[in-house]
Amino acid sequence: MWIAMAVIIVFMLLATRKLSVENPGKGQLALEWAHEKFKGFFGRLVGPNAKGYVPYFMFLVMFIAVMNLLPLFGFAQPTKDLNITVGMALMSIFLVEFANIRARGFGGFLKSFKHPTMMMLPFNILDIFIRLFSLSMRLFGNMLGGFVIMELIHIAVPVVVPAIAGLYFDIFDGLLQAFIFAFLTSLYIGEATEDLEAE
Amino acid sequence: MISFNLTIVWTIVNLIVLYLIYRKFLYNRVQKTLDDRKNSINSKFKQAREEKEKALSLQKEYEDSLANAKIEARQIVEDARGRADAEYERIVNEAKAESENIIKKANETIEQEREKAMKDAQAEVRELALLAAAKIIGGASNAETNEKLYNEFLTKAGKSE
Repeated sequence: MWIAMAVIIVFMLLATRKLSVENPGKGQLALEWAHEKFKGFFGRLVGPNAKGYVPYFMFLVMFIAVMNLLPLFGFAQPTKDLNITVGMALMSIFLVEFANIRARGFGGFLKSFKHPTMMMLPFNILDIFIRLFSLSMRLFGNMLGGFVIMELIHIAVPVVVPAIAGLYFDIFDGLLQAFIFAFLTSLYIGEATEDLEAE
Repeated sequence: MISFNLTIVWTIVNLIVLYLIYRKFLYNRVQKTLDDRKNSINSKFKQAREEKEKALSLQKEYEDSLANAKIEARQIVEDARGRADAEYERIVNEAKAESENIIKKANETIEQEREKAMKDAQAEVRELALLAAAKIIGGASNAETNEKLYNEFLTKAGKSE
């Protein structure tokens, strides 16, 4: 995790060293393209009431993607440590409930537990922990599984095969999980901030 | 293998700190760049539109003044032509009047000349007649003399014509 943080900080400082309004370079154009794409995507996903959380999703995608791609450079994924995924999922759930309270007030937050009917109350409360569990376990399980499989392949066939398998387990799965984590967080927040009365 | 420890807390702290850094250094900077570019493009478009409008109005103005100039030029030419026509008319009339005058004068002169010539001729004829009468009275009245006198009269009369 510390390595990923260092990588991200160095990248951020390097990438934003000379942003130009008039004549952007290729790197800047790519950065702006990714920025606009992700911003648009999460902006549409999260709904009109939670636009302020969009940068966090963009940051999550980048952070998790960098952590998941670390095996390409010879480091183990930090995300195969359950503590880290739990921490991140806790942060996401905390943000979801925080967004809920901020959008609806504390009373509205409590009321949202019996939405749409009173019968759903226990399930809505359970939902918090299930989301926490599923977010953290999904990321952790995928990464640990990929890590274990890659280690096994390394032991069995040290050449060629790890490169091909790594395409899937390290790159594809890593990016996919990073995306899914941020995607689900944004979905939860969008759900937590939408107008219940407007439906 | 699965055990919880302080890493959870560190992860949350790191997430928050890193997110704030991300917000400040990447998101805001990129967003600012994009916004600045958008603004500058918008202002340039606006400027271009304004300049186009200005150019169009200037063009209209020029066209108007050009049309005015054409009208004015036509007016001037017409004025000049009118003046020239008047002058022409005046000169022609003057010339006509003068020529009429001259002709009239010439006619008068001719008339006078003629009258004068007539008077002269009459005087001559009278003289001749007197002369002839004197000759007839004074000279012998024969056929030869008559013929001679007649011829003389004819010759003198012819001279006075």
